[in-house]
Amino acid sequence: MTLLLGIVIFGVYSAALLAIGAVGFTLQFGVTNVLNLAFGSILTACIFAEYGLTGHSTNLWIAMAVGAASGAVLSLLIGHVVVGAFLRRGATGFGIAMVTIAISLMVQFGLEAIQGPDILSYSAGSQATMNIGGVVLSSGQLTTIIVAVLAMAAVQVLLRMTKFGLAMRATAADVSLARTCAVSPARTRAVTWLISGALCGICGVLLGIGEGSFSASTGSDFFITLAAAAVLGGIGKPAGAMIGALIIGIVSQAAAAVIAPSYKTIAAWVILIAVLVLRPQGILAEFAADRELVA
Amino acid sequence: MTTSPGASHPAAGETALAGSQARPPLLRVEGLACHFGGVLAVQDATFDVRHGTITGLIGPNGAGKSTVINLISGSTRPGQGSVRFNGDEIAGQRPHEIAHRGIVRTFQQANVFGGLTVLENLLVGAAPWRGERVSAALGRKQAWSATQSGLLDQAWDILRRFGLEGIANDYARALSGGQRRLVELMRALMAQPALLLLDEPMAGVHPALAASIADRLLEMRDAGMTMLMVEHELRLVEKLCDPVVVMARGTVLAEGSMAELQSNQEVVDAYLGGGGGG
Amino acid sequence: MSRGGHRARWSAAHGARLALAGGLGLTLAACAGSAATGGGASPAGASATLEIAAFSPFTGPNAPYGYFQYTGCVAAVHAINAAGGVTGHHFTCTIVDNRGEPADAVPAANNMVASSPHLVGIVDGDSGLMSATVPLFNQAHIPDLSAGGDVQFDKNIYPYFWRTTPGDDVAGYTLAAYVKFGTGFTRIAAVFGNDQAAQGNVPGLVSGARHLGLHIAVSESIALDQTTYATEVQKILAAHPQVIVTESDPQTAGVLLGGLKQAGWTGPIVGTSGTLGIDYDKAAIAAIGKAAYEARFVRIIQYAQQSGLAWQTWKSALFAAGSLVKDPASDETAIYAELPYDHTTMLALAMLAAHSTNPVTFNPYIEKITQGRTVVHTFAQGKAALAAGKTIDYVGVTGQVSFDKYHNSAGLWAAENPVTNLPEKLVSARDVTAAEGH
Repeated sequence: MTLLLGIVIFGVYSAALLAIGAVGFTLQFGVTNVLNLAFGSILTACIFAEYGLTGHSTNLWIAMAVGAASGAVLSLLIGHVVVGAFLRRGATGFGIAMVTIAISLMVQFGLEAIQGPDILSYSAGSQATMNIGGVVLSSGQLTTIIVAVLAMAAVQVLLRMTKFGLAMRATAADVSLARTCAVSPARTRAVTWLISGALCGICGVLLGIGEGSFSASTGSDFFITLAAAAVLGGIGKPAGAMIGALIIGIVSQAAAAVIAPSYKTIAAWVILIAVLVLRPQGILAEFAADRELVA
Repeated sequence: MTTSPGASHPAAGETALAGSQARPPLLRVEGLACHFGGVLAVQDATFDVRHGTITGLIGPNGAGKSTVINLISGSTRPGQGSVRFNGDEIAGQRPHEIAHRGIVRTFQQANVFGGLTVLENLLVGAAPWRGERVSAALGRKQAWSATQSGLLDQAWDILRRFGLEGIANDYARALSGGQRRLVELMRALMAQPALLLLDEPMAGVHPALAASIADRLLEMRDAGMTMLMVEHELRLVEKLCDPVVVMARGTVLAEGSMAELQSNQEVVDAYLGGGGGG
Repeated sequence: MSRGGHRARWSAAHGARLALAGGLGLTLAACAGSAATGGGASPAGASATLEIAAFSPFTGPNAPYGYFQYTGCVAAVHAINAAGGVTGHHFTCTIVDNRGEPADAVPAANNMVASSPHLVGIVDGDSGLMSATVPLFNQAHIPDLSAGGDVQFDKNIYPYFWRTTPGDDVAGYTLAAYVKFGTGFTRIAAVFGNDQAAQGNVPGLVSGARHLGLHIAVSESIALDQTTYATEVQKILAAHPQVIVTESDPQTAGVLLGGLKQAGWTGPIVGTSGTLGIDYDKAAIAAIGKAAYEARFVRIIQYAQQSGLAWQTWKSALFAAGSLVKDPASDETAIYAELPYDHTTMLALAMLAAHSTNPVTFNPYIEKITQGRTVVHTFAQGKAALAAGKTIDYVGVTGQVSFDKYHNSAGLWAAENPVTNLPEKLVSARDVTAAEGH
């Protein structure tokens, strides 16, 4: 019983961490149409930035604010300025993906060159814990879940309830048509880079502090699972990314408990492949040709 | 080669709103040219669109009608020539900048945001994007329910006028081709355009629906809206448009009412005599 | 465990030195080629100078290992010659460069055997080549004292092969031996990352636990780099272990140890030598705090002495060997230099005990000089004891040697405190042999 509760609670925790990043990633792809493979490295850079700016022991909320700010700035810089320059020269989707890989490697190895291959660690602050039916959850993990719920709600409100969100969805669906509706794609994309970058930074900081230690490759490792959650839900669909994260989170915890921990990752990927066989465009996709940003 | 606007068809002036001859035209296209590769799609096109008219744009396939619409709306950049809107030069501006000025278009192939509901499609079309601030978007201060209730009212109003409030919350991709046309038209109306560019708004639409669309367009004109419409169906053109601009091989052949054009031998030879639009 | 994995364990402790020594080794090899160099003053006379070959890579990426082999040999030869040698013979060390590649090693071995009439012993430390070269040495009846970790030599069948360093899979047995003889606990949770290096410990741990009457309460192989191991931790603690034995990369360890702390685990944690390194320390301290890390964590590593007569003698020989040793200060705690030092000394003592420099005669004495009654720590001590008619047990700088029937001795191990880096408990070769069930 405790084990089952543990699967659910820590599945939700894993999902929360994944979802914050996955929603940012999928939002970014949906609106800008850039497959940003540097997302993981930007995530790492945000942890480094937060660690460097506020030091080791810090208030989690301040840390997230710093992470969000650095993520927004980095994302805008890399996505809008650098990648944008290539887009304006007519680079194609594959070429752009390669550019983002190059950026990813530069960021990762740049951080490694500055910091060295050593890992960095947050000092072990003694976190408050709470016991839920025998399952011990730390305050940091609880905060992560709360932040994820808030972030998901905020994204939903943004996309559903605001004119800017509508502009994002319109841009995602059909850029040229959006233009004729007086939507400025450039500005919509710029703000999307900012918002998705902020989510990336928050995710990074929560990941770094949650794991206690990190290195220049932390984000790249995490990015693979994060991207899987986004693809599972249907790339470009924030709601899909949330569902994808939840599935991956709970399945991997269940696999660890029921099968064996080393099958954790395998189980998540088996689910991913199975879903994509049945629904090639992901869980929330309805029409393959219709790119959109369904909230 | 080109017909001098305002001089050759006094009849048009009579059917237009009183006093419109005294006002400068809403849109003045002069010497517009555009080529794709080595092929001249439009050469030296010159005509006016006056306030309160539905100006027709007809001609055989490949005459350059849709290209003219693209050039005016900014989808295609002109090689040379001038497009003046309310006296301002807009040739070469980007589509969303031109849209900001109040020139809104529809497409030959009905273009809707499939992933958005009908109501949301209309809201995207709403004009006041220029007021949108990034900070406001981030702060989510502009929730629909609060400051934009006016837009919602407007959208529902248009939906009711078209009798389509029943499908307001359907996703646009689930609609029939004719319904998409209507959504596109309604979205264009949301912007309260100063000039509406219609690229074959009746193509592929069930005749009954086409008649209904035609009635809406006339209502809109009577309410003072100006339109430039490309259309193949000459009976519709005759019913809706005055004046009518005839294009052939990328250039303007003649301009006038349908009655005048039908008596113009050059036009009949080039187009009308050929059995209408094919 | 892979060759790389084995070395990685040591490179964590000696990385800087290896890098430094690497350059020196290359220079040295370039100058020396494969010709003999004087290991000590060798007076011309009726007695030929006997050769000990340092058979190792002296070029290529593993060149530092060649340097260590040569350094240990040179220091031992210096001490042996200073104590008068063996039956009038003095010794010298020969560099034989096998380049660390089987394709180069086999011709190098053949050439060495064919062209060195006074070759009486080989010291090698090169994992990965042994199945190609050891049979050649055996066929030539040249004793080979090895520091290589190749697992297939755990059950070695060659009489001229001897190894005083553990096979790469022995680490698992040392963990069981430590739990049995060092803690008294009986219920073990085995928690290892699912990478090859970490999993290499599991068979030895499980088998050792069986031989020693311990119970593996739960064995979890965990996927690396997850964001939480809460479910795994729940399973582990549900089995009520008394001690957790673990190896994983630092990042994984940080999350795992943090999860254990969060779930309330306050028992001891035993790490392998794979947990060596500043990154692991940082991650662990971040997860459970420095005080808990110091109080409750130990790692079982191969132990190099840094005190006592054996070590003092080794150290002075190292410094006295002159220009042949480039960096004695950093070599004095390098186990890969200490091993060939002991190996060379053992070869000479075996000759003394057998009263012969003929390998066929003295080869069996390599084991006998570790089984006698009088413990000796240096060549000079051994020579004196043998001269006095005693049997000797050589306990050199790398500790007690206890050959099993496969001519393997696991060497000396210690449970080291991760914060102070001091040994808390020693795990002897005999303890490990017990875990191995021999």
